[in-house]
Amino acid sequence: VDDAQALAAFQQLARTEGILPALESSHAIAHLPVLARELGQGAPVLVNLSGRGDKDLDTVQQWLREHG
Amino acid sequence: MGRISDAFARARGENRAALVIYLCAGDPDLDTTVRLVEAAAQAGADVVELGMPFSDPTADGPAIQRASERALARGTTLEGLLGAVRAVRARGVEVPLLLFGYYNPILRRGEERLVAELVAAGADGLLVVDLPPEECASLRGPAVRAGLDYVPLVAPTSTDARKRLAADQATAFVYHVSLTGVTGAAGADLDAAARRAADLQRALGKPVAVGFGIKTPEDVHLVAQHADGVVVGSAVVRAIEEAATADAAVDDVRRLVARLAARTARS
Repeated sequence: VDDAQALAAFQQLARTEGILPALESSHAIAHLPVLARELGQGAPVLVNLSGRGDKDLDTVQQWLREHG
Repeated sequence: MGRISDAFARARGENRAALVIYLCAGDPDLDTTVRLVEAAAQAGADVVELGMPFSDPTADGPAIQRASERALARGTTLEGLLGAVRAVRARGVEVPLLLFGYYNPILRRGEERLVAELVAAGADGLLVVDLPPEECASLRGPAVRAGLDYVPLVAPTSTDARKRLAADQATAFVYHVSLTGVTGAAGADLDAAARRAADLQRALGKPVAVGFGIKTPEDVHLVAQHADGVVVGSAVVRAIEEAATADAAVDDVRRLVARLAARTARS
């Protein structure tokens, strides 16, 4: 998972659930589609959001300014 | 001007800070929440912040985390909270009610829908801890158009540009967080936080309340010397937690709020 994928996942969760995940957890969200495909239809998947992303907002905003 | 602005203006006219009291809706249960709001108002709370219990209250310390857990374990929902707001108004209690919470339940319910429901129930404003100012337009717009107040937070680490943005978005007051930490934390330099709030008020032209780490009547006195408003949350929630029964919680909160309200004067 690269930075762009993690940041896209960060924004996706914010827009769909109103939750800001930590950047670490954003990598897990980004990997979710890959994992879900591997496990196949109907497999239960539990994602652990191990941290909060509000503390990462400055980093996220700067990254989006430079790359977004 | 809404009820919250009126309350701040009235306090200023009386040469004192407005006292803002936080209660977690549904702790210990919603019927008691209604009685707690009434007791706090009668004891001198100028504004009541009604917390929407949330599973991941990232800005809150242990006391409010536990209150949120108790409220959620009892099955408290946003629907139930709206019912409690209606019940407060049905009892003739006119204290301004500011909803305090996190963005996830608001987004899931629908921003415009919740705004309409809050207005119909008799709430006065919204404070959303984890909604950044750059992203708040979809909630703030409908809220302000419907007559609700929108209260942003600024932290000691906020840049001048973000403080300016917060002040532009604030309709009743700006909430100044006293420290870089969670609610109920120890060790805030409250005198310094209150002085920062006064500077902020002068620079921004909007009333500024200070919250986080304000527990005792002496703390209230200290902050009231400079700030327009003083927020006490964890200490109130802890009194509810320690009470043996719901009736005792109502009595204890009434007594605690009266002691806090007695120290809001500027000397």
